Amino acid sequence: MQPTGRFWVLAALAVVAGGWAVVVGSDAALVGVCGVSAWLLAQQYRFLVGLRAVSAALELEVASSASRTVTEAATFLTVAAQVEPTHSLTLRVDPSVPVGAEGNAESLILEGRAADVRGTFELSWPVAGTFRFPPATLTARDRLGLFEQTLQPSTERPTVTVEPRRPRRVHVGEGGDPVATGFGQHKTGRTGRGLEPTEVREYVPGDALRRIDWKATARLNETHVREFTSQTDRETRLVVDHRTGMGTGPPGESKFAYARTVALAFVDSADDLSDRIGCQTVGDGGVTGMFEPRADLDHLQRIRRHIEAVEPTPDSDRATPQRPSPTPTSPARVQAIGERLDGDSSAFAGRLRPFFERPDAYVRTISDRPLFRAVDAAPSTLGGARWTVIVTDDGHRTELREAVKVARLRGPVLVFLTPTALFEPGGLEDLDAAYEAYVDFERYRRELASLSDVSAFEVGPADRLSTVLASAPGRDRPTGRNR
Amino acid sequence: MSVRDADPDERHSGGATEHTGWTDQCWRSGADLLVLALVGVALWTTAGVPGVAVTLLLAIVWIVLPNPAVFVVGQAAVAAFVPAEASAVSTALPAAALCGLLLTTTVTDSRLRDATAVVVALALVGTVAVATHSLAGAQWLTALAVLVASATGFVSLDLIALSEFGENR
Repeated sequence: MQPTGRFWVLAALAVVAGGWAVVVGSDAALVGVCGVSAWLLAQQYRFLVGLRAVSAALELEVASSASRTVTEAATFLTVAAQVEPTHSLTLRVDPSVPVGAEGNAESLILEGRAADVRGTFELSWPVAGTFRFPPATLTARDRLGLFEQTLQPSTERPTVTVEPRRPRRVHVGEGGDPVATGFGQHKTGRTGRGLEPTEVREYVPGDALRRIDWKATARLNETHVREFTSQTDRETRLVVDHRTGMGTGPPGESKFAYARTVALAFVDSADDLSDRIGCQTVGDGGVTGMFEPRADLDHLQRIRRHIEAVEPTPDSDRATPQRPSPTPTSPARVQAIGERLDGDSSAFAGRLRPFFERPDAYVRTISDRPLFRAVDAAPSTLGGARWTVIVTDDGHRTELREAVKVARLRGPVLVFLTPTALFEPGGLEDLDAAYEAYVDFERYRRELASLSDVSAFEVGPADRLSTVLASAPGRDRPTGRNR
Repeated sequence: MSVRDADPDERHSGGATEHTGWTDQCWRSGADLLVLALVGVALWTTAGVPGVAVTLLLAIVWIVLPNPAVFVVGQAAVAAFVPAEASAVSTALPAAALCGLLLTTTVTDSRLRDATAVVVALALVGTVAVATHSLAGAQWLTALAVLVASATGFVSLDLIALSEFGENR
């Protein structure tokens, strides 16, 4: 119980009244000190009784609109206090907000014999983590403002788990079917000399004598050799596209968020297998980050940090206004059309002829594109396995196709594509259209996968993909791998 | 400003701060005027016209000061204006009427609430005062006994609150 300044003023008044009675020597004046002292005691007793009534009857409820949310999302805190109006106290409920929340939870006042009060406050959560609401405090004050007491009523303390905005269910697969094993674990696929024994087989002419497994030969009564598998240090060159188109999708679940997940998985895989890995990040203006292939931990950490920090190029940062990129005509088609125009003497043919006189136009157009430039500029490696992993979307199909063709000259190529059909805002409102767009994407993916030494996978939200595939009545799923 | 440090004259209400003070309506009620009228009658019968004038002054003081302060001022006025040769009843009448100002502080929503607590406290403290005065016969000792008894009561109630509700956070 905390006496306020008012109480002490009136207590001082009682002392003064007593002193004055002594000074004037009047018995009647003693009534003053008696009256004020008794009155203060009575007020204190009334406050205590009121406090007991409130403490016994108060029902305080603190509830959160959600127990799980994502960063920067809003939740609502509802605080409700109910008490039988049999007291004369002024009650103030002060809801507390966890350190991880932003928002103003104002005090709720129960005054003038009010029976209940309720308040709803909007909170935002800028930081990920699990946060428990601190207990709300109740401050009771008597009607005249002489005493005050703060209580912490026992009430439920909701917990809110805030998760960072990031892809929840990442699908990596082909034609809607997820890949059976994680990507990144690799063996050479060749048997022969090495360290890990794989199988024992019969001796065939040409096998080296030192490879004969004498124990197996003795046991099986036939000459056998033991095969070993060998592992190599693979060099992975990661090309991560973060151009404007990769920003499509809800915050934290954009194309790039999924692409980043795949890219980081490759970095982690390289970390586990002690492989050398290099990385290039490509924005609208060209290469935004370049890491030469190395295997040391600092290097991997730098790549991780860079990939985590990089974001899709905002629209306003584009060097040139965004416009649909024209699909260049292939050199063979240019040559064929040019030959046809040569034999045509019409004015129309004469008008068109200059456009087909430069067979290198296709190359010139493609070579200006940032992703192609990045892949093309990568230095060739000297020996060893070299994989190129391209993580991008299906927005620049011709450029990507040509980039893949260039990359496969240096070794196997893995392409991870985020289908635009799964990320466009409101794209699933028209499921038929979404399905058509996905089928078109799948056709393109298969086209890439049909190139030798190229594997193409789709990357996206599993739930949206299954929605698109499941909501296409009467149509066949574009399943089946083109490999 | 923390809750604990908040001045009681500043009441927070839904984000707005309502400033109140000793002139706050919670301190006074219509019943106070009735009590002042009774005081006026009692002082008029014992002190004549000056008693009425004193009552008017008390009414003015009542506008700006809380009832306990008016009560103390009123007791001082009774001691000053009621003649020494007046009977004990003549002195006790306005003094008792002034006690009505202490009772009316419990009026809320036009109802007298918990007046019993005030009456019992007055009886207890009065008993201490009378007993001390009759035994010792010294006014300073009586005043001291009343103050000590009140302080004891305050500490006792505070300890009870502490045991039931814990420390004031």
